[in-house]
This record gives sequence, C-alpha cells and structure tokens, in this order.
Amino acid sequence: MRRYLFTTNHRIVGLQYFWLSVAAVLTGIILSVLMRFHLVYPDAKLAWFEKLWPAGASGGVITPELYLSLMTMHGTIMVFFVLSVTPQSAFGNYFLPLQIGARGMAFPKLTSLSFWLTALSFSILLAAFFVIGGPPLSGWTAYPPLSAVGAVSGPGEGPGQTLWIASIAVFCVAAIMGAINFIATILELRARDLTMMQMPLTCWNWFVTAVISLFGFPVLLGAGILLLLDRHLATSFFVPANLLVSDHVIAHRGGTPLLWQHLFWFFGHPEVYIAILPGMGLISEVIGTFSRRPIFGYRSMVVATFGIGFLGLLVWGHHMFTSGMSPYSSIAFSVLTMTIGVPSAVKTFNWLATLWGGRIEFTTSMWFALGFVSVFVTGGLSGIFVGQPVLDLYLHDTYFVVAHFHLIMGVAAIFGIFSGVFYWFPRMFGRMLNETWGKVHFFGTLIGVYALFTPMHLAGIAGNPRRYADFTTFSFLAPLLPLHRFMTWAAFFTALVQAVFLANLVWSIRRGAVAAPNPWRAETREWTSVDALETKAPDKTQPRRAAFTGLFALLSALTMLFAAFGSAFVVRRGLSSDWGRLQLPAATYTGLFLLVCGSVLLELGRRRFAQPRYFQIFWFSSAVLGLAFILQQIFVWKQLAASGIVPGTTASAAFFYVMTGIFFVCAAGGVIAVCLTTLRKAPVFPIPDRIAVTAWFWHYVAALWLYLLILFYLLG
Amino acid sequence: MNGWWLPKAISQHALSFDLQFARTLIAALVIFGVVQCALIVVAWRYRANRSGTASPKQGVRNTRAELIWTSATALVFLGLLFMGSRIWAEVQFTAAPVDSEVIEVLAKQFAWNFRYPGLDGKFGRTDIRLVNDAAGNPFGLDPQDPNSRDDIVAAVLRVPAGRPVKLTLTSLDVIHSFFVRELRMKQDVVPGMQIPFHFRADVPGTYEVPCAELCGLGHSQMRTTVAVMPAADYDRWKREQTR
Repeated sequence: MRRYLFTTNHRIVGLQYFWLSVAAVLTGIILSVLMRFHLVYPDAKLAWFEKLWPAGASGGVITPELYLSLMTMHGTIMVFFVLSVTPQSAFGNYFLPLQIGARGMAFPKLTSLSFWLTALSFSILLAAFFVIGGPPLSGWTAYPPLSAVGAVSGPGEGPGQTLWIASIAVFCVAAIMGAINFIATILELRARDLTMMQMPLTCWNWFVTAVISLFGFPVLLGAGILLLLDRHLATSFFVPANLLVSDHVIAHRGGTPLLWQHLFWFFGHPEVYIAILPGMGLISEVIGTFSRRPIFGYRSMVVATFGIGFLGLLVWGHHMFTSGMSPYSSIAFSVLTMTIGVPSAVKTFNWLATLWGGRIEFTTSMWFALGFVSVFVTGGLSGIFVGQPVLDLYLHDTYFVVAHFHLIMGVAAIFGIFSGVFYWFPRMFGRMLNETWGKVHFFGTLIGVYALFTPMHLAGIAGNPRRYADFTTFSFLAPLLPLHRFMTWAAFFTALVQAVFLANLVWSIRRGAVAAPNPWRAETREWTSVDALETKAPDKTQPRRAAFTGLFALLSALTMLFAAFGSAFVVRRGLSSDWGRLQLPAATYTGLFLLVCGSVLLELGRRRFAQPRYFQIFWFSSAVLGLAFILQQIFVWKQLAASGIVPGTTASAAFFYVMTGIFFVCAAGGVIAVCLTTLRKAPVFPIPDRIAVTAWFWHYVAALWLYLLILFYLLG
Repeated sequence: MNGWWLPKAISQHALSFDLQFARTLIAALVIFGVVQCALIVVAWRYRANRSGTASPKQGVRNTRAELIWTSATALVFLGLLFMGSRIWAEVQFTAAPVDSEVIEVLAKQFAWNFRYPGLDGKFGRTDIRLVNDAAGNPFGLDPQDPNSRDDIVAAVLRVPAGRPVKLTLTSLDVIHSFFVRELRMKQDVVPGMQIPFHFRADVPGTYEVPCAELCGLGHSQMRTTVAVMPAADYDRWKREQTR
C-alpha cells in the first residue's frame, strides 16, 4: 500500500493522476447538471439534494449564490483538475518515458511530489463546500474586488474564496514541478537513437505544454499570493480606494482591478493551450496510426505547435477588450489572436491530409480523434468572432463565449482525452475497452455536445449574458427559455452517456478482452519496445545534464514569478499617489554582501571538491553566511514592523514584504541545499554536477537579491 | 425564431456591427462547411475494411499545398480583422463630441444609478460617506455644494435620440458591465476608474440594460433600462426635473 501511494514509478503516478481526474470530472459533471437544471427550473425543490448536502442546499433550493458557487467550482475543477491534469500529467507521466525510451521521468521524487500536491490542492478546493458561506461565487477567474474584500461582497467570499486561492496556489506549485520534470525528461532522457525531430508528436506537444506551463503558472501563483495578501493583510494590490460594499466602507486604497486581470489572463490564455495541445499531439498520432499513413507534414506540425504555444503567451489581452484597457492595445492583441488561426489551420489541414489516401480503421479512439478535429474547427471558428474587438464588445460575457470555449477547450480537449483512453487503455491495463460500447459512447457524446452547444451560440447572439443564476428578470431572455430547456435536456443526455463510458472503463479493467502486445499495430515505442522495467523500480542515476536542465527550468519559473511581481510593482507604482517611498533598511545592503560572499566561497570550494576537507569548510561557511542572511532578514522585518511599517501601510511596503518574503523561501531553500550537499558522506560523496547545480542556484539567489535592491532603490 | 438573433440596431455603429457580424458569419460558415464536409468525405472515402501496414515514420510533405492553405487562412482572418478594426477605430479612437450630453453612471451591487449635471452643466461634489439609498442619495451628493443642487439622479437612463451622449462609468464596489444590446456595445464598469462610453442612438424606444460582468449573487437581477427619447421630449423631461 505504502509502496503504491508514495511510489516514484512514473507509470503508477500517471495512473494516480488519471484516477484523480476521473474523480474530478465526475464532480464537475454533477455540478454542471445541477446548474443546467436550475437555469430552466429555478424554483424546483430537490429533496434529495438537501438530504445529500443539508448545509449548502437548505430546502433543496438552488439559490442564486449557490448557483454561482456551483459554477465557480465547475469551472475550476474542469479547467485545473481535468483539462490540465489528464492529458499532460496523467498520460504524460505514464507514456512520455515509454515513448522516448527513458527509464522514468528525470526526477522521480518530484513526479510523486507533484501528484500529491495536486491531490492536496484538490482536497483544499473541495473543502470549500464545507465552510461557512460555501464555495466562492466569483467564477474561475476570481476578479477582484469581488474576490478581494471578503464576505461583505457575497456569501462564499469569506473562507471559501480563501480556500480557492490556496488551492490554486498549491496547484501552481505542483504544475511548475511537473513542467520542470517534463522539460528535463524530454531534453535529456531520450534514448540515444531518438533525435528531437524523430519524437512522436505527443512528446513535442507535451514539451511545448510544459514550457508554457513554466511561463504561465508562476504568474498565476504570484497573482494568487497578492490576492491573498489583499484579503488578509490589508494590502491594496487590486482593491482601489473609496469602495462601499454592502454599506461597508472598504479601507483599501489605490489598487487596480485590471492588474489582476492582466496577471490572471497571462496565465489564463496559455491555459487553453495547456489543455488542448497534448490532445492535438495525441490525435495526430492516432490519426496516423489508424489511417496507416505517416503523419502529413510532421515538421510543420512541430513548428505549428511552437507557434501556437508562443503566440498563446502573447494574446491574454483578448479577454479584456471590454475591461477598460486601452483600445489601441486591443487591436494589437487582436492581430496576434487572429494569427493563432494560422498554425491552427495548418494542423487541421495536416490532419485531413494524413487521412487522405489512408486506409482508415474506425476504432473508437479514431472516432474520438475525428470528433476532435470536428469540434476543434467548430469551436475555433467562433473564435474569429470574439477575436475581433468590435464583435467582442457585444459577444463578450454572453453565452456565445461559453459555447466557444466549451467547444474548443472543453469538448475538444475531452475528445482528445477519450481518444487517449481508448488508445492507451491496453497498454495501461493489459485489456481492451469494449469497442461497441465505445462507439455508442462516442456518437452519444458527439450528438449531445452539438445539441448542447450549437443553440448556445444563438443565445449568445441574442445577447444572453453568462453567469446568470436565472433568466427571470429580463424580458428579452424570456423567448430564449425554450432554447435553454433544450440545452438542459441535451446536457442531461450528454451526462448520461458518460455513464456508458464509466461502466465500460470499470468493466473492462477486470473483464475486458486481454490485449495483444501491440493491438493497434502502432509504431511508437510505448508499444514496440519491450519494457524491461515492468517490475523494476525506475533507475536512480540521472543522466548528468538532466539536473542542469531541471535547474534552468526552475530558475526560469522563479524568474517569471519575480517578473510578475516586478511588473505588478511598476504598474502599481505608476497608478496612484499612495505609493509611499520606502527607506530601505541598511541591513538589506549587508544582505547582498552576505549572499555574494557566500557565492564566492561556494565557487572556491567547488574548485577543491576533490579535497573533501577544504570543500566542506568553504561550503559550510557559505551556509553560515546564508543563515546569517536569513536571521538578518527576520530582523529587518521586525524592525520595519516596530517602526509601524506593515504590508498594509503603503504599496511599496507591501511589495517589499511580499518580494522579500518569497525571496526568503528561495534563500532558505538554497541554504538547505548547500547543507545537504556539504553533509553528504562518502561513498555517495557529491558528484561535481550536484555541487555545480547547488552553486548555480545560490548564484541565482544572490543575483535575485541584487535585482530586488535595484528595483527598490530606483523605484521603491 | 423571434428573439433568437441580434436585436434591433439603434445606432450607426450597431448597423456597422451587423454588417461586420454578417461578413464574419459568412466566412465562418463557409470554412465550417468546407472543413466538416472534407472531414466526412475523406473519412468515408478512405475507409478500410481490410488491414494494411503502417508506413515508415518520416512523413509526407507538400510544401506548396501547405503554403497556399496557410496564406489563404491568414488572408481571410486578417482581412476580417482589418475591416472590423476600422469600425472599432471609429468608435474607440475618437473622443466624444464636445456637445455630447454628459451623464454619469454609477453601478453597485445590484443596481444602476444615473446622474445628469442639470442646467448648470456641472456635477456636484460626492462623498461615499454620504451615500444613502433610502434617502434617495445613491451617489452621496454633497448638499452643501451649489453645483449639486440641480443634479438629476435617476434609476433609469434617458437619452436624446440623434444626439451624441457621453457616459462616464464608475462603480462603487465591484466590477460590473454596462451592456446595451441594441447599441451592440458593452463596457466594464471598474471601481477606481472612470471609463468614458459614448454613442449616438437614433431609434427612440426603451431598451433593457443587463449587467454583463459577474458581480455577486444578484448579478442576474441587476437590471435597468435606457429610454431613447425624441430630443424635444428629452429636453422637456430634463427641464421638468431640474425645476
């Protein structure tokens, strides 16, 4: 049992992720069914719902605030714990090493740790159902001030919202760990005879997904930290002055709600590609396999994947056309957005061209891949409406957008996941899923989602706002009710069809036909190479460069985190008069001295690593210097607080506390790493690489402190 | 079906919007039809009941076909964008005309309030400590300020037909969004910001204004109306209110 839970075997961790996402998707579907039901029968009383959850659904009525809570949880669970987890973490951890001929992920312990952090994050999120006020009602986007001023802005905005932010922060950390692991594995652990340009497209897509995760998640983490501080330490990053919420005067001042939107969508838009790219890679392979053709335009597929990933990082502003942002930047964001249509079109064309002239076998996996192409095109085409600022000014925040992102991000990604489950099931469980029931499930789902989302566009075109708990107040919404009723029944049908899949899954694991070693006659390594590691634990020796690559990825993530803080710093400083210049305590400068001396000592010790005595003296003294820095930093905070400067005092003080606080964590990590490396005894005396990685991390930390000093000296 | 499509267009911009919407819709439907049909036809035509072996990994390429396909898509998308941007620029890159009716919009959970400067053309001072809905002072108007005496405060918006109107949007608490479907425009109302929003409605009538940004539990009930009145009626109304 313990071996299974805390295993570092990438295949078991992949399965753990898989079952976590099954639990998450079932929760998400139940929430959506409740929502759709309430929309068209707002006054219905659900006796069973009250029995199930007496605290939340008293009287069995779904109140508007409960509806919004269900909606927030549905979105959060689906986006993070299903669409981000299944295609990347579940399939990726399981199949990436198999596909590139590696013996496991680059950092096996990190693999397991990232899973458990994800599971922890999911538990924290679910805990929001059981606190006073229930889950937050601010949507998965959590726009402040709604999400920042506490329970006065609505039920669920108390502890529920805090748990939500905490959950997302933990998820970000887990996702960053995963990304580091994926990047190091793909770059450094490929079999010797496998060049990058020979990798299956799945690997390329996992790689690009990992890279954009590495850029996106640290920014969301930073934003989440700032939001938590606004809520609990009276800072004003996002909350402006002079607010009156439910007759309560809010004490914050000077913050800007748009800052959150920029930070959130800098992550939020790449998140769409985090969800869809792995599916694209997979269905490319599936279409190739079942057409019995090589994938058309492999090279252009790789380029298109990078193009989508790169452009995806530059288009966050298209979520903000109506936000009050400059109308000129809207045009820039729009041009970049429409440009994404090009690599997407290239991919679509290549899929069609792969099918052309093939001998297509219609397995369930193939059906889902074809379904993916269909809904990807459908959902993508509504993107050319909302990608134009002028049209978006009408369609934004209507059901048109809901239809758009559900098709392209939800359904397309889910079809990719289903295609993957049917394709890889024999490899994962040694048995086949039932094909007949699989096809019933596919066609049911396809009909269901088109019946659900096609009319939804019409509701959006009629101007039906989204995130409405009921349609009773506005007379223009009345004629849309029949349409909504139809959509609700389509949603029920679609949800019901998923039971077919669930039954198939559970039944086939135990009773399915035993699978042949390569049932699809595929060519990628997870099928063709005999896996010597079926029973053995993964190899513990890491190829030497993986550690460096992992370090580089980690430092990139830290850089993104501090870049997020830095840009928030600059924006916030330029905006208001409450900045309040901060006199840097003298100890911040001596801190730099301590860190740099530590760096020099590490380098001196590194040169003498062959002589353990010398090495240990040098490294131990630098650990002492690091410890001195840490103690001194605690002293600095105490001193500042004693002189009346706390995070809530001024904006610059808030930034000082948060940036030095996060820095503190990095420095403490550095000290621990140096100590661990120093104390390693022979015979596992540290190899030079381990020493170098630790030293470079320390150098980075010292440089980071210099960056903070310059920032605060010049602008603070 | 009535009510399942774009509502009536009541401004020049709304008509331009409808044209751009139609262009985009045609492009989207054509691409949709072509690609979905291609998918079905190709899949049907190359179906195989007999088995074959997969061919070698390294793939087929057809650079010319790819280039044509890519540039055609880019051309359609960027062409649409160009046409749309001109409409966007007409509204967003120009300031409201100087003779616009100036009206302040104050959003809060879960109501809209509107304020007109009255005949003196000046808005009075406000203070959130004076906000009192029960006493009919949602803006927190300072009665000491002479400018505030003739300010008109209303819960529904009235605007003159055929004349430019400039709204200044502010929020007292969280983000809301001011959405007039018939104008084909919406604008988020962000606390801490004063966002201008200008338009000229030509067709008299009363139109519903929903809140279009999630603002809390009463979001779906946050309703007001905008009455586009014949200019003479509007002027008469305004005189009566000021008196």
